[in-house]
Amino acid sequence: MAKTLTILLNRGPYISEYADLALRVALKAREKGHNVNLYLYVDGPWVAHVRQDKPYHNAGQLLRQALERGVNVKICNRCAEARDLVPGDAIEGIPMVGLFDFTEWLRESDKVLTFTG
Amino acid sequence: MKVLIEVFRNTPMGRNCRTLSQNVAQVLQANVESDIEVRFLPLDSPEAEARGVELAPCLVVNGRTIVEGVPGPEEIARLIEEAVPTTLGIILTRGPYSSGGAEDAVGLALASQEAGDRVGLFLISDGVWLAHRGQEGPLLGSLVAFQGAGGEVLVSGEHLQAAGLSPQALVEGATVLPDPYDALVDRVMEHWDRVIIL
Repeated sequence: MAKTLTILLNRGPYISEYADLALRVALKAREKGHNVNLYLYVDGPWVAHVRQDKPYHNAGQLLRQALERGVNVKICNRCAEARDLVPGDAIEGIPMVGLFDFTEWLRESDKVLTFTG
Repeated sequence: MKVLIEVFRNTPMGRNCRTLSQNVAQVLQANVESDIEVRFLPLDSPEAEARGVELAPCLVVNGRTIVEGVPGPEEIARLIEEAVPTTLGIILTRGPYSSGGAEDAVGLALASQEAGDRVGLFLISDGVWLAHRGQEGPLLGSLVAFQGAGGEVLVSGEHLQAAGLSPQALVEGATVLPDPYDALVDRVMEHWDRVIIL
């Protein structure tokens, strides 16, 4: 039965494996028919900043795949603002929203995973 | 499902200790069909030291919920309900002896087992090194003790391969998962009540 998984990602790409782990879990959960939410928080919004193809591992590409496959992705607007990230910097189709959106996701989720620390 | 209630009392017993004992007895009477064990213990007992109890009266449910003072029957019933054993998944992404993550994961796993939980330890990314049988240090022994008490150790095959480790390099009883994300999603969504990533 489809359930809802919310993932909080606090880390940016190319600093630890958390962005890749979070996105691969998100993709697999979608593949298995679950509803998946991904909230990019603190340094997480930097993943959405990786827009170009690269000749090496690419967390941005995984994020684009996640969007294409129906993962709901949102960026913390204050985290983005603090890092001078504006909507034009990020992969298209990801709203920059407040923390209340995340708390709404928490309310409707069966499980929550936090990739942080 | 068994519930263990420990009531720590002063010797000789004062009024508050007597009231707490009566409240616990009242909850027992109201739940005669439940599998509840009650132990009345003195404050200077080894059990009190093990739980970190320093003041009486004090009530401990399943070794995890500690309440000082005199909770009423309704609160005791609620504490029993909340202290029920659970299924905990611990996802470890860090290697041993590099940060506190592995130590925390093993410590949490053992403490949760002691409180009656079923625990799964999922080793992914650098976490796979925790199951390496060649390591020196105290964590390997704790991991084996965790397995011995029924703990499940799951290892990402993808990260094991990336680390250049073979399944034979791991402690006995560790399960290597060829598709770690599939197994992880199943456990998170279907099997574990609670999940923590360290």
